[in-house]
Amino acid sequence: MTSTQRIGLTVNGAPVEAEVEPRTLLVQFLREQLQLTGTHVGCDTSNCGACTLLIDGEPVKSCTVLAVQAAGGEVTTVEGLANGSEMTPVQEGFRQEHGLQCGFCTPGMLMCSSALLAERPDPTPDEIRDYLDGCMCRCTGYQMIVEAVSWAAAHSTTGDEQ
Amino acid sequence: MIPTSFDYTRVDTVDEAIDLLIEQDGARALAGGHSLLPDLKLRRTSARLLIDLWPLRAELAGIDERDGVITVGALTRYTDLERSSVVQEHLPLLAHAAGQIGDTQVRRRGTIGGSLANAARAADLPGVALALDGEVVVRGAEGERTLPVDQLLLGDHRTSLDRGELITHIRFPLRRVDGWSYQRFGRRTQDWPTVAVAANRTESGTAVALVNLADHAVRAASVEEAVATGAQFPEAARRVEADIAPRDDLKASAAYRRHLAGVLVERALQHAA
Repeated sequence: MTSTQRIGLTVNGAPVEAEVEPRTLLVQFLREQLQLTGTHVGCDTSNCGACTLLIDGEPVKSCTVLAVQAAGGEVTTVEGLANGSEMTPVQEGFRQEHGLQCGFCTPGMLMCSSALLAERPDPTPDEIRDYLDGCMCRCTGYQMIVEAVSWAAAHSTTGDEQ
Repeated sequence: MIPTSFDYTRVDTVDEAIDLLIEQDGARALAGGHSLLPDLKLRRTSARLLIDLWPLRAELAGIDERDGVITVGALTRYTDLERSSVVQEHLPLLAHAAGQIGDTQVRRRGTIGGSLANAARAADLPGVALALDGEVVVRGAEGERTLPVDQLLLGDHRTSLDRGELITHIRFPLRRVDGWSYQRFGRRTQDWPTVAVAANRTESGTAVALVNLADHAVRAASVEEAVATGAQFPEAARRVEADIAPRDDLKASAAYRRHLAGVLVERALQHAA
C-alpha cells in the first residue's frame, strides 16, 4: 500500500477529511471514497468533459486534477446543484427541453452550463456552444442541450425574463 | 488510467520549489497539470514527487504593463490572458490565441509558463510568444536570467532550462500593433493545431511564427525577409518552405502540412495587413 496524505476540502458545502494517495484523481476520490457517483468518467483522457465539476466556481475536468490539488478548495458536483427536491433552472431546463438521452454526459453538461450562466446570464446559442466545447455528447446532437441552457437562462431569476 | 505512485507537496515560495527540484530526484513542477497529468496517466512520463506551484499564483499570475514592457506571470492561465484588457489592447494576438486552446475547462487550468516549459511541438503559445518577441525570466539556484523564447525552445518537449530552473515571468515589448492574425488549422474541436501561423505587424515590421511545422515553434525568417523587402504576399508565403521541417503523423502528412503552411502564411499576412 503506497503512502497516503490527509486532505481537507469542502464538497457541496460540507467539510470533508480523507486519506488519499497523491496519484488519486479527484473524480476517483469523489466516486470511490465519497460515493458521489454523479460525476462520470467518460474518456479519462481529458476530452469528453463528463467529469466536469466546479472547483472554487470554475469548471474543471476532474479526471485531470488530483484530489490533493483540490485540498483546501470548494468542490461542487452535480449532487450539489439541487436544493433538496428543488432543481436549479439548468436542471429544469434539461428536463423541459429534453437535453439528455442516455444521460452519461449530463452531469458534465449541467455543471459547465451552470458555470456559464453564473458568468454570463443571457448567452446566445453560439456562446453556449462555444462555452460547452469541452463537453461531448454522443446522443443528442447538441441542439436540445443548447435549448435547455437557453431555457434556463430565460427562467433564472438573475437572467432576463423572456 | 492510473499513474505510477508519486509524492506530492505544495510550496509557499519559488525558492522552495527550486530547492526541491534540485534536491529530489524525479521531482517535477506542477502548474495547471493539463499536459503533465495526462502524460502521467498514460505513463508516457513518470515522477517521484510533484511540486504544486498553484499556491504561487498570488505572486506569479499577474499581468503588468510598465516602462514599455508587458510582464505576464508564468502561472497566468489561458483564460486570464483571454480576458485581460491589457493583453487585449497591446497583445491582441496573445488574447485571441489563448482563447483558442483546448476548451473552457482546459483554459481554467492551463498556464503560459507551463506551456512554454513543456514546449510541445504542437503548442500554440510558444509560437505566439515568438511572434511577439517574448522573453522568459527564469529563476534557478544560481539566480535569475532572461532569455528570448527562441533560445528557450530546443525541440519537442525540450527546453534549455536546467534542472531546478523555473520560468517565473514572460515579458513582451510594448509596441503599437497595426495588424495581427492567428491562423489555426485543426481537424476537430479541442485538438492541438495541425498547423498554425501567427502574424504580428508593428512599427518593427511583420513577425511571422509557425506552430507544429518543425520540432519546435519557429519564426518564419524567410517569409519575414521577403515581406520586409517588398515581396507580394503570395510570393512571400512561398518562401515558408525554407523555414519548416514538417512531420507525418496521424493527423496529417508532412506534405499536407507543407501545403497548409503556404496557404495559412498568405492568409495571415493578408489579415494582418
